[in-house]
Amino acid sequence: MTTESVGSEFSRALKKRLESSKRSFYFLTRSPLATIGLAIVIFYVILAIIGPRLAGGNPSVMTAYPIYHGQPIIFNPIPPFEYAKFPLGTTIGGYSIYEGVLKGARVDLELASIIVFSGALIGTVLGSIAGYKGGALGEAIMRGTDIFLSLPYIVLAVAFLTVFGRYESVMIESLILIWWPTYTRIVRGQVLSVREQKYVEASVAAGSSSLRTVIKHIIPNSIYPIFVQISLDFGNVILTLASLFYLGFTFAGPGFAEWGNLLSRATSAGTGGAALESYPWAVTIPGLVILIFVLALNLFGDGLRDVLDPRMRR
Amino acid sequence: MSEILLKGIGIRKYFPIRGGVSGRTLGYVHAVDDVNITIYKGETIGVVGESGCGKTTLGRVVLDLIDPTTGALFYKPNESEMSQLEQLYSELTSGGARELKKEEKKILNTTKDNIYKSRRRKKDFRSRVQIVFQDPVSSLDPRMLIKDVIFEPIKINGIPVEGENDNGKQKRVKLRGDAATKYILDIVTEMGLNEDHLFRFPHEFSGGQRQRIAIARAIAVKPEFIVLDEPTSALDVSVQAQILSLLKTLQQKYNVTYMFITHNLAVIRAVSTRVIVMYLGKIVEEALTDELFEYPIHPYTQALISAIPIPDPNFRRSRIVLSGDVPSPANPPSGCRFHTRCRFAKEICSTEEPKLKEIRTGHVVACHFAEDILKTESEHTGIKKISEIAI
Repeated sequence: MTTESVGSEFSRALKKRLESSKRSFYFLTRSPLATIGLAIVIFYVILAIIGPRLAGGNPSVMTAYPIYHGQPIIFNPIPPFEYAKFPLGTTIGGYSIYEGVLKGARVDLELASIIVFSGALIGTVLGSIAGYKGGALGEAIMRGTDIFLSLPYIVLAVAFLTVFGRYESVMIESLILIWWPTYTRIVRGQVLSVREQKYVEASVAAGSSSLRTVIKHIIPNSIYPIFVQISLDFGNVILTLASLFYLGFTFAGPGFAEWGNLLSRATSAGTGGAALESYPWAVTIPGLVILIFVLALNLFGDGLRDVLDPRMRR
Repeated sequence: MSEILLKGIGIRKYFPIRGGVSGRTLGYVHAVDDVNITIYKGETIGVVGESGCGKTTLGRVVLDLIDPTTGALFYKPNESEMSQLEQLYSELTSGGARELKKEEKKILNTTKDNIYKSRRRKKDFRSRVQIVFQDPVSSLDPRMLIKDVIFEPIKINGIPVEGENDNGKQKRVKLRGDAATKYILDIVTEMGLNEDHLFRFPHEFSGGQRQRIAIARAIAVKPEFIVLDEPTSALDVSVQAQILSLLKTLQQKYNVTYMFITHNLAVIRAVSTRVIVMYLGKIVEEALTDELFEYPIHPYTQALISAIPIPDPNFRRSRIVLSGDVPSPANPPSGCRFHTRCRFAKEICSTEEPKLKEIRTGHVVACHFAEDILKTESEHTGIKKISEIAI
């Protein structure tokens, strides 16, 4: 055989894969809601990539403009569409909401990716062990997940931030600690069913080691529900982050470009509910940004679930 | 007799039945109960019996896919192992079918350890045996291309080449790249598939094609022994015939030994050289195929053979109809396990368990009245007729 035929082999294999993902994409686009969700998610991802560049300056810190055109605007936020410099208005402290939204996209998506993907990775590994090996070790892992699932997540994060200090790493670690058990459960359930399939036994009969069997057969066949969970959890993590920042459990200064922090600026002067009456845009715009993203992720996640379920496809 | 490929003695496999909140063991399913099996090189040994009689479990134990509860397995036993085996075997048979003593279990377990528990030997064993499953849908990984499915055992074990290693093991080479592609292509062409099929996923094939792929995967490493676990049961009759003839061709070409597990007597008749009949985890009759079909002695075998459909509307015969269901393997009947449904059953059958006795040359039966049955039905008129017409 010549190298050319090997090359064609690769291209053919690649073509097959492409066709298969094309088909998946086609099925996804059959659902209008999922398509809208996907479009919005893609828009946010693009925003996260180019947003900070559009806004300029430090990519994770908002610039404060205490005085604009000679007027102090720290406690008198400018409404949207009034000045070209602040297209979405400003909030307490003289921060531009437009800038906060753009920079916050990257900050939030970055934090959420770290937390969700770490959680998914830990969950997949532990879930596969618990499902494939079972026994006392599996039982121990599952009881561990039960313990972590029973903890209210905001409370755990607040406790961690209080005890270990307000650092970015503490917040990320505490949230990972909260997020892995869901994945462990899902993966274990999948592994338990895949493990009994004949192709797993055939692979064992061919002399495949446990580790190889798990990596080559069990995980590829049980990982798909994880993708759905990841897409849904992205939204949940961003909501939790926003809640923590809103409650004041921050690890950075008031100018930190995070959507929850941006939202909480509006009430940071101690005005509380009055903020909604005097400058509603400062609360609703960051709120809407979060809402639309979480909603889009949920729509996309539901669509993804349908696509990845082979029974729905045939 | 030709060379012994695999020998198992006193094989039992009990599956625990767990229940209650604490998951304690309530009892055991006696899937395989005290089975001695010898497989000779180059033969096709048929294992037949109805659902739940333990034939699949036996196949899995023989391949060491599950650990037997007790029992020793020997793959290509050497002289010293053989003598040890013979001694144990005679001790066991003289004591009849009884629970193994603690020391005996220990001996059996240590012999087993010597064979299988050493990692190196286990890996060597794995590279020499393969399995083909009944269900061609679940036996292929749905997310792998056919090329990868067939390549998997080659990747793990390599393929055997001429000559031996220093330590007496088979010499094997691992193929890569172009050589591997070419090798796989040769194999699938032999199976009646073509190059284009290699780049498809399993769900794009029909049942018969998938079974061909499963066979290709098994034969790719040129094994010495393949367990065929009902390989044709999920296929329609025309495809069954193709698969059976393919298996025969492969056996001649690669000189491989088959253990053919099925409930289909017609298939057994067509492919196997020797047949084991199992009932509720025990071997009830064992003989060469022609011998068994011409002179079935055990009442259970007779009933099975009389149930083979005969494509001749004018042929009348006396059917032996078994009444009742198979008793639960969790609580097998005392004495002879078949006595609840046997037409010859007498008192002794429910109290004493019959041992396997050689009634004719190479024809072993576990029945108290085997000689009587053979005498009274010596003409075997009806049954002989069946054996001539069937197939």
